Amino acid sequence: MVPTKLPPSDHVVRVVSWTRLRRDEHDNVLGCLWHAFQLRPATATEPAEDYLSATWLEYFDQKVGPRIKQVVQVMRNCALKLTAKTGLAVANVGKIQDCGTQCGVKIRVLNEPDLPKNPAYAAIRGLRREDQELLEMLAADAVVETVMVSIVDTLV
Amino acid sequence: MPYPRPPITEAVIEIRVQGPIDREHLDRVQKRALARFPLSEELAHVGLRVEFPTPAAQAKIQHDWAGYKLSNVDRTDFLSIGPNVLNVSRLSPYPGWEAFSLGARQQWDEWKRIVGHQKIVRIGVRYINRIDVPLLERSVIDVEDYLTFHLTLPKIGLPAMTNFTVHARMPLGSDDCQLALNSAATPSPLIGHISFILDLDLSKENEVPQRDEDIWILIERMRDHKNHVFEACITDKARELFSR
Amino acid sequence: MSSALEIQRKRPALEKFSAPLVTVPSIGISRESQSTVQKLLDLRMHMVTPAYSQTVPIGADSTTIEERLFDKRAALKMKTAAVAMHLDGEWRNSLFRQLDSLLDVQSWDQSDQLADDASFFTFLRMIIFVRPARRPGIGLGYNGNVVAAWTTGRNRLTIECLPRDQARWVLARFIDDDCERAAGISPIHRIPEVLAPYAPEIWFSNGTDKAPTV
Repeated sequence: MVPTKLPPSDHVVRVVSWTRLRRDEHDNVLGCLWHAFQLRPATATEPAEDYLSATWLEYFDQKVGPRIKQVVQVMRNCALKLTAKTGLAVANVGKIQDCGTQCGVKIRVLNEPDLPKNPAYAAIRGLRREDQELLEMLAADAVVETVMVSIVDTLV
Repeated sequence: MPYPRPPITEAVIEIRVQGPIDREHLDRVQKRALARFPLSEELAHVGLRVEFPTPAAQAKIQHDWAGYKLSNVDRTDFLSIGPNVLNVSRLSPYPGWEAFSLGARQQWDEWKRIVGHQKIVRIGVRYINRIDVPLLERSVIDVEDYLTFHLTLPKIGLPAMTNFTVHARMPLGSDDCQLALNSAATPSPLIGHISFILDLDLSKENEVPQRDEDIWILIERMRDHKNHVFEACITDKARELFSR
Repeated sequence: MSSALEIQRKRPALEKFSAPLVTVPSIGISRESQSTVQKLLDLRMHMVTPAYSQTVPIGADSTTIEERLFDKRAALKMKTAAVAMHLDGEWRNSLFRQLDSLLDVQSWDQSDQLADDASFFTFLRMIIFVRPARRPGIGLGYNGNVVAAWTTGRNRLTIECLPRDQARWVLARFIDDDCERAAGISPIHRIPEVLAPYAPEIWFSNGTDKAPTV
């Protein structure tokens, strides 16, 4: 399927491990570190990332239930390990692009269905690897909410 | 006089016995100690043995089992038990003599309950200190401003030292103890500082007391001797650094 | 000064801290020269490591992530002992709680990297040097670099501690509703100066918190 641009009013959800959540000195979660938007460098077994993975929130129908809960279900269907302390960064597509514009970077947020398991799969493309200022802006301004998986699991 | 920030990096009380104590007893000591020291690892002396059968030499690495090293979860209190030794050590932050020696005594009592009476051949009390000196834009420090135990260069116009290590061993002159004194310069873990190690190791190997009360009275006295030597090895300028 | 010591400005590697600066002399063939070399090497060993240092641990290497996290927590706490006399007791206890939380197997992700020892040492040195009254939140970047983060409202300061006393810092500072952003890589002894234009007390001070260092 051809990747499609997501509308600026929509949101994407990115998994953020506990170590990359922004916390205060008492471990209260305040959001994300800029490292949550850092492209993973190459490891011994995997090549470096050249885009960030996310899941398109508005793909899911609210009538079925809380969208974020459906996102988590799809992630689990894709064998992503989500612990109670995993965070979910909900970022606005338009704000992601605005951050890029401010830093002279064209960021594209695309739905790239990963069938059959995740038709809502989204890719954030165009990021530069070591642009800390941009990544910090994404973490601070583009993320509108950070939700813990433990909370999502209690939603009905 | 207890200092607010004693420069002690490690305090050690060690009791060596004739032994060797069998593995079964040491295993029981270790199991008992886990309640207070839940982190435990086995230790070995590693040696290289080279044999010369003809036509070619053979080298073998030997592991001789040497006991256990246990620690608390915070890795500040350590207990080492071996076929000939019980060793209690404490890293910084130093909790004070009362707490440290009481903990050591408790471990000794527990050890003795399991192992039984053993002939004691050596008692040691060792304190390793690190004195962190702020550089304050200086590029040369006069060691004798901080330590009285150091070396002196001959007066022939030599440039400043770039490092030093001094080791001396002598009878203490009290309680028939021996004193090993070490001092050295070392890179400091603090920015903008240089550090001096001052290591005082007191031991007794002649006519070592065998009764518990006498052992711990001696250890208390060794600690007093250590304090006396320590105070004599540092200057007021050094004292100021850990008196605030 | 007959006992003058010249200060070496070159930053030593992590393993050299708190080790006596023993230089092995030219090695001769006589028994006396070999004995001297051995004594110097022994001195260096004995003045640094905890007692019973002539032994090595034996047993299986840690293989499970739970074991490796356990070992790492223990290793970082031991590193803290080198500077614990300069840390307030409560600060140190809270730091240990944060490390236990950060390196907890229940929350560990397979993409996470264990905290790097050299980075953690930079973090400790920075904290003691900068003396923030308020503790940071602690995270980890890729490569296991320790990340210290302070947040006050919209104002954010993030310092990633790199090995050998380097720090990568990023900040967003709101002054009169204008947002200033800055980023850089600086040696940690320069952190107070590079942050000074942004009035860092907004992050570092807190009326009720005690300073980390005594």
